[in-house]
Amino acid sequence: MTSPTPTPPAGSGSPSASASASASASASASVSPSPISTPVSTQPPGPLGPDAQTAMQSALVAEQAAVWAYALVAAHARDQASMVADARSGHLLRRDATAARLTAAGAAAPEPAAAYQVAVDVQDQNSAWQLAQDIESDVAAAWRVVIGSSDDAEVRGFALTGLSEAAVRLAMWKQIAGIAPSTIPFPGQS
Amino acid sequence: MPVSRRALLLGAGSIGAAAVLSTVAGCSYFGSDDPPTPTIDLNPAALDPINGLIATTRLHVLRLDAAIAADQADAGKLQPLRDDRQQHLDALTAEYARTNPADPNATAAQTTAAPVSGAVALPSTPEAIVSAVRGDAATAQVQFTDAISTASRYRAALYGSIAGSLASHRAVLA
Repeated sequence: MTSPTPTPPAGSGSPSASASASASASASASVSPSPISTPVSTQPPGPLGPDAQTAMQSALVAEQAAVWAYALVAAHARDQASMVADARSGHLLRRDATAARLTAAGAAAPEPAAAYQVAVDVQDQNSAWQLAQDIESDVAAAWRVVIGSSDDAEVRGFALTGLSEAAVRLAMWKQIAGIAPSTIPFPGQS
Repeated sequence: MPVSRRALLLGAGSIGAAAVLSTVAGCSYFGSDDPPTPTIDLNPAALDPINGLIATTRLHVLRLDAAIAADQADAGKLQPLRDDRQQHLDALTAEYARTNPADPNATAAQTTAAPVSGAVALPSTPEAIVSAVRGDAATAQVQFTDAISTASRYRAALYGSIAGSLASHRAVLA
């Protein structure tokens, strides 16, 4: 599976995770629910176990990579500009919500990397569609790990939203690319 | 002393009635007066919550089969969804068999997950059929989402993946 892999951070001068997380918490709270999103638990966030913390930090990295990689997709999938914008916006919100969730639990939120290495050489529309599918596959896998790393219903609900959104976007990109079937039985499962 | 035919029949009838009454009352005619031992299992084994998910998935596979047969125009769109649901059913029955090895039905359920048959009532128009299938996906998505909170970690990941798949089913049918 091709996936965006983080390159070492360019430096440590970026804003602190807590600052970006708190700034984005209110933004994520105002998002209207998508008709295809899953219900989110209303339980207050609590501390994360070691497994869940590690998994959620990995999910945050996946969301950060998705935000970055969609800029590459946008450059070549011009006919799907609206869809790319929606997808990138969705990953931005989820990235910030995840950073906020980690910070609320007293855990470190990794800083985004300056750039990410992607396995797809994006040169045209088809390769851009392929990269979009890779992005969503990686994000779905990251959130599936979070679900399986915690016994907390709130954490699981939070992760399920990320997994479901990625699964829907993956199906949409497959449809656009003319790939059949466009759905898969177990998104996030390798 | 000669016994009349009427008295003999009356006596036999009384003995028979007493035997019936004693049986109904729960004690043997020639036995003790101890109350009968109840045959109700007061501590039944806990039901595995995955059974409800298996039942729903099995029903939805059945309904998708019926939808594909009734709506040929949308069969190409519905068949992949049916295949996904079949894989969900197989995974769920395998998980049940894994965690319930003592259940003799577990192995059977695993091997009989594929064939499902029966009559299913569906709407008559293609639009309504697709809408019904979409409704099934929504129902199942809620069911799997609810099941995540109390499941084991392994099952939670499995349920989450299936819920995500169902979300994508709804999207492609929208």
